[in-house]
Amino acid sequence: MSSATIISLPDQSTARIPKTNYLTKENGLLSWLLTQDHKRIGLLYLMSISVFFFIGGCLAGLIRLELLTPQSDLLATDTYNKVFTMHGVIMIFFFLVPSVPATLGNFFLPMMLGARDLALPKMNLASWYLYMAGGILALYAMITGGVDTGWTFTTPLSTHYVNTNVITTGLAIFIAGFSSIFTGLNFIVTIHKMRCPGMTWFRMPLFVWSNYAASVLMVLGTPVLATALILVVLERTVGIGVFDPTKGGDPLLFQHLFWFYSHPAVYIMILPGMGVISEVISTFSRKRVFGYTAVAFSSVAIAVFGFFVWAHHMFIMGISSYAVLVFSLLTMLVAVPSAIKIYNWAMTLYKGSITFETPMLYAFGFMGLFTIGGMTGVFLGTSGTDIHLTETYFIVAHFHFVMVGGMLMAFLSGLHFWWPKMTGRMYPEKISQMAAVVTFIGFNLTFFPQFILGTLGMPRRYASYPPEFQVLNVFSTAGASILGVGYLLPVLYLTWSLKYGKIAGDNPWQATGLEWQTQSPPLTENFSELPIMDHEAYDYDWLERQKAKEVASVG
Amino acid sequence: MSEHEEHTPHIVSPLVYLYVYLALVAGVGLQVLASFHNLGIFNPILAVGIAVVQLVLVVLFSMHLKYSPRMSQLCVGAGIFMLATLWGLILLEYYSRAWGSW
Amino acid sequence: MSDSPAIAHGTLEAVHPEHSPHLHHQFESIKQQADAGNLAMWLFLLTEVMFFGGLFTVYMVYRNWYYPAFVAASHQLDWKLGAINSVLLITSSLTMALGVWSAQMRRQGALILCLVLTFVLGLVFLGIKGGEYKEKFEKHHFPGANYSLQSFVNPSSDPVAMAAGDKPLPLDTARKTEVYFDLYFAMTGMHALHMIIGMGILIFMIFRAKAGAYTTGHTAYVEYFGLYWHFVDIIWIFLFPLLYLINRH
Repeated sequence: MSSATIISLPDQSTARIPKTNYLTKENGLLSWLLTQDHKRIGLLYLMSISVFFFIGGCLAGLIRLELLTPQSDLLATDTYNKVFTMHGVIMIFFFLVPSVPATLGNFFLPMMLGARDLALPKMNLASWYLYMAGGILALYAMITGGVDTGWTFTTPLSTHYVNTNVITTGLAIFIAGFSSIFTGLNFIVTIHKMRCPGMTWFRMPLFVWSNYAASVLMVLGTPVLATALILVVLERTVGIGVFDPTKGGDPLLFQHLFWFYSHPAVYIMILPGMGVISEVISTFSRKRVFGYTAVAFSSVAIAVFGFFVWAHHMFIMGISSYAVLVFSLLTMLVAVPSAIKIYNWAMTLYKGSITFETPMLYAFGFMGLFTIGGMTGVFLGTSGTDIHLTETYFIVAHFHFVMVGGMLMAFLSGLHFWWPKMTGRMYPEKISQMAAVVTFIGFNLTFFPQFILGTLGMPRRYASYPPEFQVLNVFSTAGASILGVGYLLPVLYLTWSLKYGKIAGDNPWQATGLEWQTQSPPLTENFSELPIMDHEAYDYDWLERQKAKEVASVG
Repeated sequence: MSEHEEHTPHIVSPLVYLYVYLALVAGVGLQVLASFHNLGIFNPILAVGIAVVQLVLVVLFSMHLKYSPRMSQLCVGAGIFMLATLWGLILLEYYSRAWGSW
Repeated sequence: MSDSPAIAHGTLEAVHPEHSPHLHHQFESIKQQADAGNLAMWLFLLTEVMFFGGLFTVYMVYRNWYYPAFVAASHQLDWKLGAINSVLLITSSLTMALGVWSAQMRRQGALILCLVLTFVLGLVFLGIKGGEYKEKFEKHHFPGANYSLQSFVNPSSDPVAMAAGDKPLPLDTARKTEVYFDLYFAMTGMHALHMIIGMGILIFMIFRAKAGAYTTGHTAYVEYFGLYWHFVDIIWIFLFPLLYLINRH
């Protein structure tokens, strides 16, 4: 391992943060709460999702502590149910779904396209307010008694057998759904209509492509979730019986509608993360992403296929065995575009000038963990093995590998990658690299044992378990505490860097995206003049020529 | 303002709106008329068929889709595709539950 | 544009000497703005299509399962009121379309008249719908604890069922009529909610139109609202035959 790095910071003795930028443009609380600047809204989102991630993380900690011992001793069993339900609801609807699109996407998508703002800035702000309203309602539901249906609101449990805050939580998710629709809608319009001159579809960074695919899923899928939740709420309030078997309703129909959104939702969560990885891998290998077109279209393919596979969540729930066959086959189809991405990233690394800065370490973590998570998904998509593995810890490990190992790594990778652009300052390199490694170790220690627990048959969603599973559960809990440290570290040093970090300069990573060709932190209108895209994405030769030109003109 | 005029959207004549209106009212009449005759399986097919014709008229002319940018037209295509997916796959599941027993 | 610094402002002015007051800061031209708005509105309608699509899915499944119950329950609705409502809503769609035309033609008086007519027609529609709901409440056909099977197990006790020539349904089948009314209230209720929201926006627009907001060349908001109102109309176009006209012969 060499100490080679591509970081090039300006001379710290003379460098200054530009006086005029989007942070200093206006001051005061109102200038933030009423802002229509996509960058400020991105930061508002970043702060709020961090809070929700912290709450969700604390709940995860409680779950792991309870599972340290076989008996249900730390939490009563019904409290445990509430804790894992709120963990799921908060992490999925208030962290993972908005994580990359609403923070990094909001901030950088217009900049990558060379636009001054998103197409609908007011809607963008409204989306944040809806998110906050939904989030606060969900927290209110949690504080005033909680909800214990699991994040899936499975009927008839949610409609008949529990007496907790299903309605409040359902409405909270309904509202958060609007926020997600607004973000997605805004992105689609922006990508179609706001590209700068010369920015053709195949010159867009892959981050934009993957956010586009995720936005399509948000716009098309979320309303169906709204239907399902509205019907559940009506069932609890008015007493209609569309999901009530005693009245002739079919509880499985709820699951169909719910998973019609909630399966594509996992692609809403992972696709923007994949976009981040494409940017990072390319930048730190100094190579154009291998098979750019294939990676771009694989995002779209994931979005399309993502809608054909939802019933694989219902294999053991009594759907027709012929449908199981069809959905199992269709599920395998999604593996193809996901594999295309992994192969293409690997080929991008091949013969690249790889350096190991923090974003790249997180990206490596993503590639490994996402591959494991994806491969185990094939086991679960196969109807035979699914019957054994579903509703066990295998499934918990599977989706945590994809969502935490995949998406959260990607989010942190992106956050570290773009932090210098967002704040104009660099975080301390060594400690951040350490945090990436600690996260990776902690993650594996937490979730790998759960694969084994699952194959041994430990069911999910129980507060107690047979004593023979304790050793693996202790490993898992120990890992969770390491993971917790791994997540706390960035909070500390990133906050520290806001004041004490080195001045980053315009383009510390020597990256090619348009967002790097302007000052950091950027101006409110992003670019001092309208950029013109006259080169392909990830064209490092162009960057070299550009630098040579600058030197020549200054000289 | 000359630049302006160029970008004003296509203006649909009120006469077109009137024709669409008459066609829609006629459609409602036809639906009612058809429902009072026993056409067997064709009762629902005719009712929904007329509704689809009405839909097409409204979308193309009242909602100006015919004169809208290509992307907006694509939205409708996406809607049809998604509804086909939602209904197709769910009905596939429901009909195959009792395979052979109907 | 007040919040843009001089440099960006200058560039803009140079590229677009006409620089319309209706152009928002993030756009380069009126055409770009119009296309973006149009696309956004259609995408929003797309989400609405998917929302109602979910409800129609539920309808489709249960109509296939419980067809006899759906027939009997549907006979409880007054098709004449439904048809009148259809015509009312289609007419309001016409007035709305003419409103868009008036705005494009910059005829303020005609625009206000059209918007008011649209509002009134919508109000009459909701009035009739409310009357129908009231009748259903009184007959205990609203789903929930007070739901009554009287009209279906003993049609001779109910003049409406008698008029439709309904045969008594077995208890088990009769129970499924509640599923029909679940969907009837959920779907028409959601539709009515969309109308109420639309009419709220209409009131706002009538005031704005009086101030002359839409007749100076910037017709986008009237057009977008027109799209929404036509969409609400389309939903009813499907609800009417599916809910009122099941097997009337």
